[in-house]
Amino acid sequence: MKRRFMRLAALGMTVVTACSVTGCGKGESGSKENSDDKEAKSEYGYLVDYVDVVNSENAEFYTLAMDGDNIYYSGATSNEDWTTGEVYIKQFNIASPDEQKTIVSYDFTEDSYIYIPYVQVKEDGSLLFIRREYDYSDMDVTGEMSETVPELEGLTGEETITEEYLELLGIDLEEFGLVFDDVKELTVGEVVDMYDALTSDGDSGEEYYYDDNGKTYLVTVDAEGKETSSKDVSEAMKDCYPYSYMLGKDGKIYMQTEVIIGADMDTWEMCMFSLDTESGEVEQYTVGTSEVLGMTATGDGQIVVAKYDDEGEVCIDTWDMEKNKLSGKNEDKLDVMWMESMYAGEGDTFFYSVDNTLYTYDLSEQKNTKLFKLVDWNITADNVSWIGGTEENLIVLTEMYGSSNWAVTLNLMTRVKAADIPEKTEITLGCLYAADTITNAVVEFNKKSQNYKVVIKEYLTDDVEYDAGIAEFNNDILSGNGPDLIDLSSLDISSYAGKGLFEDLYTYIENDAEFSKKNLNESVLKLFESDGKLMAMPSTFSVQMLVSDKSLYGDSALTLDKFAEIVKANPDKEIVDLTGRESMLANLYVCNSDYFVNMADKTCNFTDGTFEKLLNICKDLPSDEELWEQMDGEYEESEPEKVSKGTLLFYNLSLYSPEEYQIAGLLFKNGYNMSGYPSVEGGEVTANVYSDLMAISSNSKYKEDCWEIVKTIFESADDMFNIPVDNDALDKMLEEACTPNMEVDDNGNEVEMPSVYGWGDNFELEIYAMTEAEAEAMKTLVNSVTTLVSSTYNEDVYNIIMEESEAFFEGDATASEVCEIIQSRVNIFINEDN
Amino acid sequence: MRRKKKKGAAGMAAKTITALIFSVFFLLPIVLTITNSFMSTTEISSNYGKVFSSVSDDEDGREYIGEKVNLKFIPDMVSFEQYWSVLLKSPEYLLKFWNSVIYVVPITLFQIGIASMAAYSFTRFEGKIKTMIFFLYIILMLMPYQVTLVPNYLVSDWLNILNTRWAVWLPGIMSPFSVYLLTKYMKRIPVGIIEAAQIDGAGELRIFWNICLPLCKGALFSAAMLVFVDYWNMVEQPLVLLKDSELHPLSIFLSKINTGETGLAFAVATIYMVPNLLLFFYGEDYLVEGIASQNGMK
Amino acid sequence: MFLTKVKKQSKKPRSNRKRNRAAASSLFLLPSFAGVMIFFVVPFLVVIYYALIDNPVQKNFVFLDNFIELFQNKAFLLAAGNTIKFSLIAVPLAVVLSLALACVLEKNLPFKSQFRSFFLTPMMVPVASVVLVFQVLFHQNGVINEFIGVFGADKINWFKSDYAMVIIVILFLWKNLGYNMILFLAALGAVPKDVLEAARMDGASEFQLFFKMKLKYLSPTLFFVTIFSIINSFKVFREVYLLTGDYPYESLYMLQHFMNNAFQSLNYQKLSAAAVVMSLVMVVIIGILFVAENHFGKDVEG
Repeated sequence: MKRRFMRLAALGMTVVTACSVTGCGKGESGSKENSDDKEAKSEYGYLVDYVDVVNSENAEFYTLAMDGDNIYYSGATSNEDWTTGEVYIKQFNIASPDEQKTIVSYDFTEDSYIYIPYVQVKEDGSLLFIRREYDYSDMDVTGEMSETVPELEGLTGEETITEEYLELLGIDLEEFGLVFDDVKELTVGEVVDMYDALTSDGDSGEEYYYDDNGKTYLVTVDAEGKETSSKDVSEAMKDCYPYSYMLGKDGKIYMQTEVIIGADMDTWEMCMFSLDTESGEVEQYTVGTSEVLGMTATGDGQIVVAKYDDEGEVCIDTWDMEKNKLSGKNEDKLDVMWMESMYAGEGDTFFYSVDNTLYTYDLSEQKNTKLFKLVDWNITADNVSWIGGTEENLIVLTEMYGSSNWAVTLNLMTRVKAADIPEKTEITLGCLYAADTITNAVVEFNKKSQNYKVVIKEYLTDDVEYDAGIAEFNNDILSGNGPDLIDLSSLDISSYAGKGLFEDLYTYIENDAEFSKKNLNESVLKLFESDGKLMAMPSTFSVQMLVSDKSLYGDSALTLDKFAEIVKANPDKEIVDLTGRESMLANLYVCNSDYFVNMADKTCNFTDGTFEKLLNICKDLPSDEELWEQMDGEYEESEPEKVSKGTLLFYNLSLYSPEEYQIAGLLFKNGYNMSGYPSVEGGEVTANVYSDLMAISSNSKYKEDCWEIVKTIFESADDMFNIPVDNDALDKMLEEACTPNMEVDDNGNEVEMPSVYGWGDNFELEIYAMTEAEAEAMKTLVNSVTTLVSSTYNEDVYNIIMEESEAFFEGDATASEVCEIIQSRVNIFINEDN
Repeated sequence: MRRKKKKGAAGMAAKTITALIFSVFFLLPIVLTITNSFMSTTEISSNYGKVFSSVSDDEDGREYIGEKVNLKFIPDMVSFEQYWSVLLKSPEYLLKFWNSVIYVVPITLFQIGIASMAAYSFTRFEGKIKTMIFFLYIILMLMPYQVTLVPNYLVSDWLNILNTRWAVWLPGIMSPFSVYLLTKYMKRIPVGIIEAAQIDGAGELRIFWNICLPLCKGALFSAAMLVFVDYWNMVEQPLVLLKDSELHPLSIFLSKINTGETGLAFAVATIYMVPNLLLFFYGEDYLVEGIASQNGMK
Repeated sequence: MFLTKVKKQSKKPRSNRKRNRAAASSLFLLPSFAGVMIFFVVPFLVVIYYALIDNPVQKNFVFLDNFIELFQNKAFLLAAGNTIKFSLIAVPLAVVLSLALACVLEKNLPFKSQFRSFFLTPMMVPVASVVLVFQVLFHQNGVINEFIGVFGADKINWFKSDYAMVIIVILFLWKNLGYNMILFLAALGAVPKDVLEAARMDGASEFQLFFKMKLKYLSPTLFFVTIFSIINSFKVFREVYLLTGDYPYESLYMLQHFMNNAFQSLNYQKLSAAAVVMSLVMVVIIGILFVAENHFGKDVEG
């Protein structure tokens, strides 16, 4: 006995030592890293100068090269419809970004296109660059091929294809590795469509690049732009359309590109091309793995390949320039989800960005360092398109795609001691995910504000589970450390109501002379009221409606009873697109959650037969799973197509733009009804808020400043795909929609050009300008919302309902039993909050 | 005399049968968990698909789910598929298991260490204050976790250890759980032994280390087992204190088993109870002795 | 005179030494006590504070409002009711059954030690591990329903009806019987053999022996086990939670559900009030135990 105890004790001690070594080690290193992080943060900061490289719809940016303080970049400017313009390389010094000098420039016309994808500064200060030219003057633009069909005499497009027709159409099947047998059952029209699909990659514009007509030149110019040599490498570069260009240490230009292989045109292979700048020779190698995320060269010219390893994690490999394959030597795993924008750094390093966070990786030390988030230094970007320089003097090129222009900004970042950065009071903005509108508004505010800096705190990051993130968010609010400003979108707002957690925004609106003049959509704001106080304010929303033919339920309201009748009477039709019984129940519940669960009165009501109705409506629908299985791999008709064929009863309308409203009218030509999901009373108009639902914490010390930020967010709201809460902005939106898009046709007459909306391959709608009546109707509709889809229902209750109704659908319980159980469980939930 | 003996034999048989029935009751769930862990995932889902609505889909698409729930003792074919998947294919289970170890072992050892000192103090010196403190310990020991939930959370927040392993370690180590049991046991050490040492001039530390601890080995071990099991089982603490799921122990995973990969659940459950069972078979005698010494409150 | 002087002289250093020893032994308590203060006692005072304010953001004192609200809260009353109901069913069963088992095992049964191991195993097994089996057994289409179906009974929706309590009671017994049994076995072992033998000689039946003699010696343990089981029955939450989640069927809704959910839904003050009430109840129960043990303890000794 004694010996056994001793042995056990010894065993225990060993285990413990091992554990405490690793365990404590981990804990400590974890906290150490954190403190390092903080130190780095507190020790250094960046001062940023912004240089707009491109800021217009009619300019393009291609690439950039750096030589000390000199920046060379290639780009293009053009006239309004991109028919003529010039392509250039410009140079400037970072000390004086306004003094830009054009080194070379080439004009292009309607029939040609020029492009400079690669610029390199040589040691003697001369420039080496690649220029590609495309000439369209002697060819049919492939995109317009379909219009050749009617032109062929006597052809409607419905005829079965023959070899003669093919010849007439000028389609060479062999080009795509096809033989006539492959297409013999198709019609002429279908063959033409197929030809179109094969010759374009779907993205209009880029298809031109894949033409054999292109010319490629390797050009050298001196510092003044005088051409010293120009080599035609068109033949060698014929198949090469690189994603990235890299300067290898052997002086060759390496290019990563995908090459079509195999006859089916569907198989692509990742290849590496190397271009010898002296001889103009091009070699092609297979990379051997398709999971390549990106490539770059380090400052020393070592080619680095980022790829997914066997376990699906991002790792780094290098390209062996002697054996011309991946070396497989240096497969260091990086702790990132993916990788974008890799660019050479100094020496053995390279920069990359992931989700607008910058990293640097040192190849020789295998050290991965996270630098910062761009937004930390007030840089917003949709895309990082170049990174260079050193950690001390970092140059980051960012792109923003606005609705009307495209901005490329050079951010010249100088690292300074933190003490040299003017100190500002921090205001925290808490959210689950930072929507772009919020980030952009915050950056805008931060740039302007002298005294405050808004810091965004995201509670759901990649390594945090949803529940845990929500829990932390809630805990933060309650422990008094909560954010000053809170984005409540996609949270259950009802659970925060009545707790005095948030400021009443109505008082802020009233006290704000400017803002109170706004004509706000009151019906939307009402959705976020609690005891007459405005807890949170969205800047945009959308409306969720079911549209159906007028004859389906005439003038009556879409009540649950009516809906049940309709479902029963149409057993062979689809009710709502892709909505099986579970989704239908979920939708019906969510849209009626106020009826079933009344948080104000603390009652719930699942046993008065209404919920039973819901269950019975859904019972005969196919299950969600069946639906998904059915469509798995099969061609699915689009929703409008089904509506027009009459197989689908309700069109699910997400009303986020005037066009969507018009689509309803175009789909149901004999008049239509528009209603939210059926409810007890019927006639609901359901709103949905996706992002920036701002609330101010009652605990905040900077409430007035928070209000300023809320206003900034409200005013910079992206209404591209949303309806603004500000009715004046809505009026503007509707006015635009009512303005016809006039163009001059071939006969010299001014005619209205419709915008064409397409779904899949077969269904298209032409949308003309909105009529005043339609605009008025839409405005009335969106100003009369009655319910809120997102966030009103409680996750717990929802889960209970979905879990219990399963028993009914499976036939294990009757509807009334299920209702009883739900009532019992939800009752507890409600009583808790009493 | 003869009659009595016969009656005794019949009684004995009845008692043996009772004991057998109860043994089945006690062992059945454990045995079932273990035998079911040797079923293939397919067999699990065909047997229990109805119970666990979210049986994992394989790459081959939907699996067959039996209409009835079939409780089976013996797998159709012994398969190590579950273990294979758990141990080799999804390292996260092993990681969570390792997490459990990292939490429970230091907590157990340090708690026993600190508690044995406290117990010694309670044994050696009695006074009004200590009696009150001891009463406090008993109350704290018996409190359900939900009562200390908020305090725990607040302290972790103040100490800035929220979402680190320390948030679980420190309250665990400081828990009064084993003080009571150890005190009960130490009080049974004959006073004479200690007094003899005292007369020999031994200091308190020496009495504690050289006399008290060796005499309480059994109780220490038994307390350690109870602490181990208690913390091996913990669900609430890590859920509240650790938001990073990478830090979670296996118990949390098991508590969410219905939403996870049920096909592997039995194997995970088995792996999870193996350390406890080993500990139990190793130290059952100590455990019994430890529990038995607990009779009475003071 | 002389003698007293000597006594006085010898007394003084001795008492000094005793005080030193007391101080030293108090040092042993220090780490544990400090830890308990930091991690349990002081924060608990904060909980009491929370129970007296309206919410953690505004921090207005409302004194007993939270407690009044608590006792008007239907969910709390339901939870308290269920917890008490559960204790009333499970505790007597746990006590009686474990005592019976202890009596069975006390006899020189074949494989006695094996049986003891079997009975004690559940105590060591994590509940989470066996919850799966319970789910399989008690499912709507599960084995138990199949079994009672043989006798023509209707299916019972075990988890979603008033029968749900049965499952939890079984799980509770499964987990706790072994522990209680060990306590009883120890107490039975302590019953003086000679007293029993004397009674047997007097022709007392086993039945009489048990109720007249043994029970008297067992009474402190009986009491201890009862209180312990009551306290453990308050802790049955984890089992229920593992089986049914945050919002179980009404009959399974326990106090800890209430508290857990209050934590999740930010109701710190409600949770704090409930925690204070629960602690008070615990203190009362444990206090009764203390007092009663003094009483019973003397009774047996005397």
